[in-house]
Amino acid sequence: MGNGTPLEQARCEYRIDLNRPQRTVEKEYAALLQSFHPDYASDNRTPLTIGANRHDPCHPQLAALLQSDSPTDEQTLAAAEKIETEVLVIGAGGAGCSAALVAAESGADVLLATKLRLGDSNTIMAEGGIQASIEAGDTPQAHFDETLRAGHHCSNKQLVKQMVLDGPAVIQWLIQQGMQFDHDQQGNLCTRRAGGTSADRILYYRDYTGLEMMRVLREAVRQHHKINTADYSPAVELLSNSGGECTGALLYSIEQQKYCVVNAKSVILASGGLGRMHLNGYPTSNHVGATGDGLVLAYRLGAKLQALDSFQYHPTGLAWPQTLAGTLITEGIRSAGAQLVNSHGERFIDELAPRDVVCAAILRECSEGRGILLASGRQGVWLDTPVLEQQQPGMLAKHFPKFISLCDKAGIDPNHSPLLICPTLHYQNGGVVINEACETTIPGLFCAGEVSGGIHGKNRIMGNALLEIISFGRRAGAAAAAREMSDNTERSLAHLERFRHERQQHNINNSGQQGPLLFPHYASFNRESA
Amino acid sequence: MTTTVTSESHREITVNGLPLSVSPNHSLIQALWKSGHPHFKRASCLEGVCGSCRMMVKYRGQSEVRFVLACQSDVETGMQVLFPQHLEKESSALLNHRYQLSSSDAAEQRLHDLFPQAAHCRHCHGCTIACPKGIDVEKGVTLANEGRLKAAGDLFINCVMCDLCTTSCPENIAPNYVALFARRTTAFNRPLPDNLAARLQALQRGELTIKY
Repeated sequence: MGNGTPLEQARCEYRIDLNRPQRTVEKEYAALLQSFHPDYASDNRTPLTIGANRHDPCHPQLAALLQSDSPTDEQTLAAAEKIETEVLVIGAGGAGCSAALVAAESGADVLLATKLRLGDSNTIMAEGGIQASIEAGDTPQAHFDETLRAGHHCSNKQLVKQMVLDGPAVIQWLIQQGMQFDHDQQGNLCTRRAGGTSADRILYYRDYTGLEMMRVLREAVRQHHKINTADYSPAVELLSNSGGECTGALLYSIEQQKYCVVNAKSVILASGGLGRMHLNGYPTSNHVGATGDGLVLAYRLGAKLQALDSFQYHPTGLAWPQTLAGTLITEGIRSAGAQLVNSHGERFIDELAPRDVVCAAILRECSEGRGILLASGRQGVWLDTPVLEQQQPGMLAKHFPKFISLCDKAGIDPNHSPLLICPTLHYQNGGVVINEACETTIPGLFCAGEVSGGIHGKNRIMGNALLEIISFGRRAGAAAAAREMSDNTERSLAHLERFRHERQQHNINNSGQQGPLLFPHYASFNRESA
Repeated sequence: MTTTVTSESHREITVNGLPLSVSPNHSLIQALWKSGHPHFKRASCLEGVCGSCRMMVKYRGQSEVRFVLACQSDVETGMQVLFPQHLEKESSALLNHRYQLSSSDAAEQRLHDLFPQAAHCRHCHGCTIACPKGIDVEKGVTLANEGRLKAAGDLFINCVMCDLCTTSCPENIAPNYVALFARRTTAFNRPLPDNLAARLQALQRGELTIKY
């Protein structure tokens, strides 16, 4: 690691400069990614030894969790209270809520179970906006092409095509749920550009797009007479019948400290991502519950996963103060004109290059001595907001209230001082394999949102996550409600027996680790003494 | 090298009456975690937008008790912290409004029908004082009562639905839900934006396809 400039010194040396030099302009990014993006480091990849993805590469921390044992046994199952529903939705962020709403509209009785409370999710924290190609100069084809290109052409094209074509209808549906978007004076929806794209395609509501979405969806769910909700009730195991279908889930009520078996004809897993696993020791922008539970449950049931070695480290997480480390600063601010600046006062990358590229470029500055050094040993670079404020006075206060409140909290005046940022673990690019109807490789198990894979390839562009959760959430809800009830309503842990047998055969012991995690270790959660 | 507060020093606080010594340079939630105090349920986003980690706090030298979001509050010596345990149950007991959005012109009347208590506002400022986001909640209720739904809703842009205003109201008004109804109604009744409408029509006519 190189030596950066200490924070205090860098702060003194910082000058506002509207004509900052751009150090180099790369023609292609492959070498930069190869050398500096965490995904490309060889020790961040190990082959899985058991399960449907045996031999596939996986991040070592995730591999240990996916292959870990379950604390659940037949006795737990036998003693648990039993309830019935038609559709069980696990996870109550944007994907889970839209799935529940559409399943209920289709006539199904829905139970929406969530580890925390209705709406507690990464969705609520989404700032930048949602992509939908609606401007005259833009086309769905461009949205499709740019999603694929940013993802290094590793996406499932059929899924991307469907999502992109869903875009405008998704926005209309959200408006019908009562969601507000920012409008211009002619009453058109405002749009702005995302990194790695060529057209203004991000729709937004201030920098509160996710909060506004979640306020509205939460209330719509709460109002719906066919949806029951269960807060503080994480799924700790899925259930199967002898035909290999998913027939329900075992929930654990944190409040009542007891288990509950839910029998359902369809289960929709919408449990989100895994930022709180802090891969490679990174801080995260994710909410407390993002511990990869859904991947663990699906994998034990035998579902095929994909791209388990691909994660998004969002370029601009706040690096200082320590209290707020990892907190996201929206890409919308770079889209509006804020710059990335190293300790030498240089710009070093196109701020609106794809996220993985910008992340790698920041890490290069830090490792080559052009970063800014914190007492903790961590490094970052400047997000130059004063330059934006000089060029567009009042822009920050008007369009980014969430950012301004973060700055207040951090004691930084972004109109005059830059912010120290470094990459923060943001998103799981891969996940459970799904088809266009959100079906997994296990009949009866559907997935939607971040827990599913195939849409973003190896790198997601801004605004495609919010589009994905509603596009696929609605489709999962419709498909799950339409599914015929299986004749075999057996609910067993047969899959777990097979899984344990495989563990034994391959001598997997990983020092007693159990999954799903449910909470990060520092939250001191213990299932038996909750 | 930069200087920071040394990690040896601690902050002495009380939590539900019990003394606790916690690390500085932490939010209240982080400090509770770090001190091994189990508080895993009432925390989610850690960014002040989910409204989960509501706590009552009295700072040293101040006479009034305040509601705060613990993820947004730094620990200070002498801080007294209380967990308001039953807020969720109490607020859900108050919530009995049921509606589907519809394009009726009578949104003001619907608001009165759904939230009859709103008209009983006694202007005690309890809701406004309770709001950890600094929203003029009471003014929002007044505007809604006057039928100015858009203006009422616009005051609540920063609302995180923590329900503290609802639990603080002696008249059992649910101000944040009144405002949410106003906001949703406003969005629902807005004419479909031209750029979106044009694109929806073009897609319907099959003019825009994706080839690969």
